[in-house]
Amino acid sequence: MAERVFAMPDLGEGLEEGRIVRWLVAEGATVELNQPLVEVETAKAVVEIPSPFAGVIQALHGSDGEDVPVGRPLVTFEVTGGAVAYHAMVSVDQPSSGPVPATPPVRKLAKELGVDIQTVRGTGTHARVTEEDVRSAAEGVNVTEPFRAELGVSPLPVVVAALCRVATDHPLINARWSSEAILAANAINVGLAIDTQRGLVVAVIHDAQALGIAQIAAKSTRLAEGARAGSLTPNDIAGATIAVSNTGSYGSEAGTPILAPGTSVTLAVGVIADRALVVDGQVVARPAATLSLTFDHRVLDGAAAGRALTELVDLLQSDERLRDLPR
Amino acid sequence: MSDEPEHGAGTEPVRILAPDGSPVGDADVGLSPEELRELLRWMVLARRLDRECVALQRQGELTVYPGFEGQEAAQVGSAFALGQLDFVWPTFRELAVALVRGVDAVQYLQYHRGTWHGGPYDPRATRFGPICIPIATQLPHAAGYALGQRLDGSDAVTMAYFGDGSTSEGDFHEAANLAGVWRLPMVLFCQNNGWAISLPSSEQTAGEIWRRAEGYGFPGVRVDGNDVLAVHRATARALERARRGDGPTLIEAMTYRIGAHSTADDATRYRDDAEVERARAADPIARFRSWLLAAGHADDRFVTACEEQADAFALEVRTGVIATPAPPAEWMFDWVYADPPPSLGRQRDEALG
Ligand SMILES: Cc1ncc(C[n+]2csc(CCOP(=O)(O)OP(=O)(O)O)c2C)c(N)n1
Ligand SMILES: [Mg+2]
Repeated sequence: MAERVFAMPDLGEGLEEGRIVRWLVAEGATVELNQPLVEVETAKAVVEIPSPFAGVIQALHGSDGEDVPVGRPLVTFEVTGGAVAYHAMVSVDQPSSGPVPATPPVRKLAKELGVDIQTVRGTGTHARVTEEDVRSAAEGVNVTEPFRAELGVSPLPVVVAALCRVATDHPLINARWSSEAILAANAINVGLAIDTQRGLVVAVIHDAQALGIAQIAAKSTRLAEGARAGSLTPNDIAGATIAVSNTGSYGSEAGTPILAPGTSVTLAVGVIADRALVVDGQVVARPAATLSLTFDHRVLDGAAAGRALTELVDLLQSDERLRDLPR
Repeated sequence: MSDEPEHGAGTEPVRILAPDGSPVGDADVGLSPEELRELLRWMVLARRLDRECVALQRQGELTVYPGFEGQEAAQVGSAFALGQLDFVWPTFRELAVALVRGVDAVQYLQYHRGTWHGGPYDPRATRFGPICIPIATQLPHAAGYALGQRLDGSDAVTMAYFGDGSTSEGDFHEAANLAGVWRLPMVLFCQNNGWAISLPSSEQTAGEIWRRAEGYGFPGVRVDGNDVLAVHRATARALERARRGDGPTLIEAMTYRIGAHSTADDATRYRDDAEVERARAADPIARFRSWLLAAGHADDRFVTACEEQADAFALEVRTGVIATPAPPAEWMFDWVYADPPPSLGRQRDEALG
């Protein structure tokens, strides 16, 4: 024997009370599960409330014509049988214990490559397992293994990693304008401007702030190949929060690229070539490049953009700070 | 036709069993006696669960629930004809179809409990798409899916459910037009239950829905939606046609919504009790049961067993629904935007304290 209190439910969609029209049972009566208890009128309808328990009616709270707010006790029962069991019979999948998030093509790829997708750590949005993650897992690439050959990558991945570091301290360069507010993005999704036969494609390295230089290099290679082959997925070209254009790759000294939708900053990396630079009072030949920033003035002023750019230049010129970047 | 609801006027629907259960057409629809019994079992189960769901809403365990009493034959008869890989795009009233597809009822009802958006069942595994509240929006999705099925080289068919009211939406037209132009492997299954909430179908559509198919360049058929055999045969033929590559079919199943539009609706405010009584006389379960018994395919013991199973099932689902925990409230905010706008952040802080 256990006492149960049944409260006035919300009988419509967002109703606040119900009026007791008439009781269909008396105190002391024995009722079955779903036996009509009371007629209640709401703003929407007159309905019969069936009993949620099998048991004996101990008390009816309220008399005919009375308004009872939603949530206030309506009937107290002494529950007899086990007609209604308050324990789980069916377990419902919760995402925490359920399948890892991944799109069907990625699942298919995992199957093809013999990778158990449940064991793959996702680096995509909301820890989604990406195609890249599956390929890495398939190759047994240990992404945390130190990337030894520092010069084994092109300069671009280093610039991207440095840019991510700077964006962490200068969130406005990784933000976008909306009518309501300036929205600073949580993730740094770096769009790479890639020249293809069919024109410019901006492919995106998602969550670049969480990647080492080697991973950035691998991703940009894959994205560039995909862009040229026309095999990028919609996700590969969506969600950029900041962009980099390697204008130097076709020989330009500097560039003023147009902003990709959703971004406020594009960094143009000019051609790297020997220049006459002044070092310790001497003019010497040194490899150098011009970095230019296109930015959305609504989001950040010239001063803020300039500070971020100077910070980036400092980082790229400091051997010590470069070595501190995630590899 | 005084014994029919008003919306049944016009073209006589294709019928195998008369309302009293006597056969008026060829009752051999290619189902074995065991399969015929299954049809009854599903219909009894579905109605029992439907009533339990209404009770659960009245007890505060579901937030709102759209009942389908009266539409069991239309739903079970059509769903039973589907192949394993055929894909269903439902509205919000196809719980009986979901059951036949093998969707877990407790998971399905998470939607109506308000603990999940769309229900946590897996649409890919069950081949039953997410519950769709915005009227007719599932139809263009279905057409796109049917195109995908063909591009995949699959012979599976897309089954799109919708109501009479849905046919007033532009989405219906766009989907039907694409289905026709591209000869999509698709069946457009309309349950004409006489009402779109409080609007009778006579005020919704001046013509007959099944006839519209002609304009789209494919066949249409009006079938007695309370005759499970007729529904099954019409659906099986339409599926077969789509599977052969001959394109879509529009089926208008004439049925009736016995209950209110949903638990938040009071149908007595806009329709006659007499109309409901007439519809009850055309009850799909009583009709099929009496034919099944008369044809010797089942006996009273079987019928009783069906009812007992349905009671046990309803109790099991009730227990499962009540036991389902609410997910963490922050999920409401966490899974909508990749980068939540500040206003949502403020709501989140307010809601979570
Ligand atoms: C786009 C849209 N408009 C309006 C509504 C509100 N609404 C919910 S159900 C319904 C009537 C649908 O009628 P019908 O298609 O005949 O389906 P039934 O409810 O009879 O199963 C309406 C108008 C909605 N959900 N979506
Ligand atoms: Mg309708």
